Amino acid sequence: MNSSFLINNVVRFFLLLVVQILVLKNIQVSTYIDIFIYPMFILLLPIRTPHWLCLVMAFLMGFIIDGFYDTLGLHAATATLTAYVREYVLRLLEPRGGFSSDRTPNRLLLGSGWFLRYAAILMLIHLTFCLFFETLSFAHFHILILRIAMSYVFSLILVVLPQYLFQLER
Amino acid sequence: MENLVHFLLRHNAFIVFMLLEAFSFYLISQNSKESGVVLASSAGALQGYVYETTNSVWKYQNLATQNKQLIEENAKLHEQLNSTYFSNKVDTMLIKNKTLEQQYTYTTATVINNSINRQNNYITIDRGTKHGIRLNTAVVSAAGVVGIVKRVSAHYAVVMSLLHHDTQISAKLLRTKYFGSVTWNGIDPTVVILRDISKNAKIKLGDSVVTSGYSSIFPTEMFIGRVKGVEIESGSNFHTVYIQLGADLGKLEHVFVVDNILRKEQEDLEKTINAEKDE
Repeated sequence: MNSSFLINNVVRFFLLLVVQILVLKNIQVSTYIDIFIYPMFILLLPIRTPHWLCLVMAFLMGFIIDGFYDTLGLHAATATLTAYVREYVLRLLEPRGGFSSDRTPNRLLLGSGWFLRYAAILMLIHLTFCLFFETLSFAHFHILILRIAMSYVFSLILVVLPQYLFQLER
Repeated sequence: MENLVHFLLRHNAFIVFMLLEAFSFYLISQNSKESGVVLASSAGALQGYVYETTNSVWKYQNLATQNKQLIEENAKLHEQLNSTYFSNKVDTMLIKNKTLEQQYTYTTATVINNSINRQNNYITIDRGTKHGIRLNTAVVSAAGVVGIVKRVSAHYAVVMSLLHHDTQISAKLLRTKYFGSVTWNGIDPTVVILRDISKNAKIKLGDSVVTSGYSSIFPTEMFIGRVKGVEIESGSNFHTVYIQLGADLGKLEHVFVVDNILRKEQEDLEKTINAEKDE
């Protein structure tokens, strides 16, 4: 991992925190919609980042989010899970012949379809886990499902969209 | 030893994963406790600072100060109201001169962080232990009940909003005096639910719902909202009453923290009864 990689990821870490806490947290259109962009950080960690480092970084990010959302432990647990699963999703989606580099798994490197599938799987896991553990109950099951579905769609759009808007890392 | 640690970190992401998850769930279990980690909540110094700074960007500076003056004036007036005082009047023959004793104090606070769209919503205010804010005190706005203080740091406090799955407030219908408890079902942030109202109670749309005063947190007859709809589930002996909240929780700016000076006395007394029962 060279230094520009490191800087990119550090900048992304703080940028996503700022967007999540100062912008997305204040978008309160409905109790059904809770938008999360910060998992993008986990998604875009370089492919060959040591698994344990992914876990620690994801935990740290989740922990900071928790501090601002008053959900002590919830996002820390969720982000850690997402980072853990990422390794296996990467293996599952590994193209024939393996990944060609140790770069960031983005759209330009691996294609639109690939990135969409990758983001769709991880974001679904992230939002399901997070919104379920928020209340820890199946009392209003249909509401929970609706909440997950709506939040998932908006979060996924926000995570995928920058792939088409910015072309920072090739 | 260092090599061993390195080896474990490198090859056993699963161990790291389990440790981090275990720690996270430990934190989750701490969140519902009153003695929870204040620093990692929005009452923390960093979080409070960030919210306070960004909050001031959003609002009109002049409007805010004027508003504040009005609110402070309001608080003073509240303290002069009869309902603020605890009546010591037992027998006019015996009482010398002091028949009224102050029971509630009103402290003004500004909302610096707020949410209404999650399942468990919190509000952060810019008053803390330095300003005499205590745990489990009531938070109300001019338009109605808002929540209960759940975390306090030196300068900030986090309020568990009415819109929270753990919130449960004893309330009654002002006209008919039937009482029950107010909870939220997580769907509409302007509507809460009053449960445990007997099937015999006659309820009209628009009836006022106020705090019952049975708990030691809220003063008696603080406005919560108005009846919006009534349902009886088949086989149930109780009404489910939908209440349109008086306070628009999404637009809170200034609130009062209401502290019951006599709370400890009431709770200690009630505790002695329970202790006797246990014996």
